[in-house]
Amino acid sequence: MIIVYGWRSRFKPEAQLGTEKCENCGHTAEHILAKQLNQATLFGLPIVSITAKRGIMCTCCGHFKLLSNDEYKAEKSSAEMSVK
Amino acid sequence: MEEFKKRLISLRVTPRTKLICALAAFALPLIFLAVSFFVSAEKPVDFIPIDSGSAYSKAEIYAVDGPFVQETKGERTNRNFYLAINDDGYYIVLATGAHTDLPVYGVDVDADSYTANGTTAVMGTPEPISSELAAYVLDYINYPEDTGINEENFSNYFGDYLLDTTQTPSRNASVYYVFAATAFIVGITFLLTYAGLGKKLGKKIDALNSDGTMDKVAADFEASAQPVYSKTPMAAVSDTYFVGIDTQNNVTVLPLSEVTNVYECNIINGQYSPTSYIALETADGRRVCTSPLAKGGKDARFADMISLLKSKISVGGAAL
Repeated sequence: MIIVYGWRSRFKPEAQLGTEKCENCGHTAEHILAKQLNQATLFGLPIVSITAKRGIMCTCCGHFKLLSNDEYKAEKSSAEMSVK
Repeated sequence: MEEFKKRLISLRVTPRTKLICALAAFALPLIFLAVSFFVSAEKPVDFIPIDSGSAYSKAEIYAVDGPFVQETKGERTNRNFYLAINDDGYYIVLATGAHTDLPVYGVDVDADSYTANGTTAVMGTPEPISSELAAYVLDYINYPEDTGINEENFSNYFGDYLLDTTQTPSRNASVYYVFAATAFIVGITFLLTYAGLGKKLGKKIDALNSDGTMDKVAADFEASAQPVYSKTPMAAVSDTYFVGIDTQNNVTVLPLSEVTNVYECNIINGQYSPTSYIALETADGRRVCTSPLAKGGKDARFADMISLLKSKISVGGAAL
């Protein structure tokens, strides 16, 4: 029996932070609050997910600015507040 | 142009990679064959049934009696177990393959003739006699008459080890032949793959030169004071041109005067990619992503290339 297994990296968007100028590409683009999930897969389906990084990502170039857990939580709660 | 083409191909297919493949294809098999030669050339020591350890051993025997038990796997016989009469007149337990050419007592020789042809040398590896095997020996020798040999005095007559003639150095060396063949096949496969990559890239460069573009680029690189050729990322930069190569052997040639912005990019076709690319934006609004850096890798040479390009472009990027 062949067991097809693998490892992949996915970004899970958690909140939109609005448009701002990216320090990497220089474009004014949408930035999102996202966490990077490293997933072990079996037959292409994710079995285990491990959160590797949390941060702000530019949707234009994919530049990822790392945030600490506390900074991430603060950004997330302020994003939720502004939506309400 | 040919020299420039070779230089670009060497960014994709490095001489070091070729050397590693060639070593795997030719040197490793030779090393494994040399090891197998030394293993099979091992000289046997005299077999001592009471304390033989695991060294390759030799026994001189007149004939074998049995087999008293067979070791099978499915319907196939792996080993036959015999009692052998050695040159000291003692019995030893001997394991052979499914077929043996040794004289069998009661078939090829009898009580009067078994010493007539002298002894035969048998070689193998000692193996402890299990209690299960000892029970089979006792069943065999105590039928039809009780010889007085039992579990308590078994080792006084047969020792604690049997001689397994199926485990010889030449057989043990065969694993190294498998290693040698595997290394050869893997090495040759990689070597051919890399040679194929070089050819594919060469064809792409030739196709780009159908209108003489690559001739102009090559001349510019030759005329440049300090052209930069980088294997990580796969790119080349002169005073006027940027040449990028990706893992699909696509070659991107852009005049630096047309580039307005340069940056590291992880968004390909609208999706995030863990592989980083050099993104070059041109005055006409195009974005070209090339020269990838392997998954998850952060390399100072990649950042250096982007810095170099930013310093060379005329509009936009350098100001970022």
